[in-house]
Amino acid sequence: MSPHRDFHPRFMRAIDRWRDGEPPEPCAIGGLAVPAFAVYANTGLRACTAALEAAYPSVVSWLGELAFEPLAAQFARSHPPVDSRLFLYGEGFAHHLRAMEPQSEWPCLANLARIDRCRTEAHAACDAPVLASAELAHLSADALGARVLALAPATRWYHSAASPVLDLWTMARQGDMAPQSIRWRGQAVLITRPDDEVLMHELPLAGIALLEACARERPLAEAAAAAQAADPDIDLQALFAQLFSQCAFRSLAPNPNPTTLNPQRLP
Amino acid sequence: MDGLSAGIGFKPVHFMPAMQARHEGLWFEVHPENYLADGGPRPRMLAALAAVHPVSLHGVSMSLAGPAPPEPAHLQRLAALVRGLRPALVSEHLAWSRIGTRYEPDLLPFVRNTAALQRVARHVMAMQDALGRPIAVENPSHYLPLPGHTWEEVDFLQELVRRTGCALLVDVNNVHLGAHNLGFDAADWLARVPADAVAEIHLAGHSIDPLLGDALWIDSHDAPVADGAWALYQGLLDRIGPRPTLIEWDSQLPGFERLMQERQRAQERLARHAVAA
Repeated sequence: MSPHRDFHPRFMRAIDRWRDGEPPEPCAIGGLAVPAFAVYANTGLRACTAALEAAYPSVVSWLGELAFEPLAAQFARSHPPVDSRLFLYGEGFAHHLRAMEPQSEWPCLANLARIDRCRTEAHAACDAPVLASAELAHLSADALGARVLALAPATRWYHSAASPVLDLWTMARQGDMAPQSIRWRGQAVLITRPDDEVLMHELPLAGIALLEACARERPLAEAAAAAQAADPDIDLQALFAQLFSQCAFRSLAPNPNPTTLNPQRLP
Repeated sequence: MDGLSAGIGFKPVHFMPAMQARHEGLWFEVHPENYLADGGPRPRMLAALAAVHPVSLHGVSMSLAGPAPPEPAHLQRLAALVRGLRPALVSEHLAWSRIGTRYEPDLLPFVRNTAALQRVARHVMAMQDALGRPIAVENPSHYLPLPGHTWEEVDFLQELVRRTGCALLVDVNNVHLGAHNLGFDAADWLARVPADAVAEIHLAGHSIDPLLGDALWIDSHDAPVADGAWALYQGLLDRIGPRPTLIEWDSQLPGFERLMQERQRAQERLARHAVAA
């Protein structure tokens, strides 16, 4: 067998060992334990942490870059990328933060990370024309109730029954950390991307039940009932008006025209 | 040169001045990985740029020297982008970055033996077949004197060209830097590159290692092109004539005008050779 036959796994193991603070297996790099090996061990890790920093700006803002970097490096070592599109890297970061919450000074971090992740997914989602309420105007009430509304590919949502997740996220992005100044309550957030810009909107908590029903492809009447079950006082008309105006649904009409690039809203 | 002279690496922050620039022969290069979203502003921005300027797709993750063939999903996404964008050039690196499902975001070295040559040739062919066009393969930067090579890098690349019909992307800074780090002769390396195969040239700045100092140069793309690299570039142009040349500047990013000044230095050299030719 060629001594170079399993070169690739040995080289990768040597990178991992180096990152864990152990010397590489001498055979992995041809017996040359040269300091230059650190270039390879460091470059990939730096790329991962930079990708996480870009993808989780609210967590960076909350923690500061100095505290974020070791957290990101720890995640990158345990969850190396699978996809070479690094702007999508870090899917499990919120879960990673959640697992650390018992030791964390900031138990809100996982919620912030979830919202950042929703924004990343919305940013990269397929283009699709949005549904205008006028498209449904010709339907009778019964026909409308039987209709299944498809969510726009970019539509995401997140909520916490106990935390004002959107207020905390907004505070983090604005760099104005004063959590004692916000009203503590459960909060839901709707994330949409009608054009090039990802938009955030506070949503009544009952709106989550409606969106989840739509995601399960349930008829509109059933989705509305789910929202009412979540909050008997919900104003369904206002909720639908919000979802339509904030472009949460995909158009029923074919032949979309691509939206125009807005250079002010580029990544 | 098919209308391409000196280009620069494109950065989204430079979108507006890039769209407005009207310099003769100007082109832009991008890493396609950054634009392979299903939708949204990333692919739209690239399409807008390509509508105004020639664009080159310079991949960093096909892992041509990896143990396995190119990842099918990535190859399909890239092929779709190439079909839609019709880039002026498509290139990849003579390196690897994937093992199993893991992607390591770096350009890793390998032992250049005949088995590796056969494997890389298969992967280049697979990529070219999927894209329906030849690619250019770039010589990577080197930091480690790996033992066991049975092929010199230039010979390896030349044979790869012969076996696959691919072209070469000669990164002059990588030769400059690798020669310093590993102790070979950069001018000799460049003198042996088959002129007809060179489709593109890269120039970039480098830095010195913060721990090892001048003993190790790092391909950091964060500075102007070094004088030594300019001299090697000049020598290469003297021998092979003008080729599309890219200024790579990826970190410590200056303003667009500063990038264009650096590009102008390459442009002037290319113009002199174009006139002479």
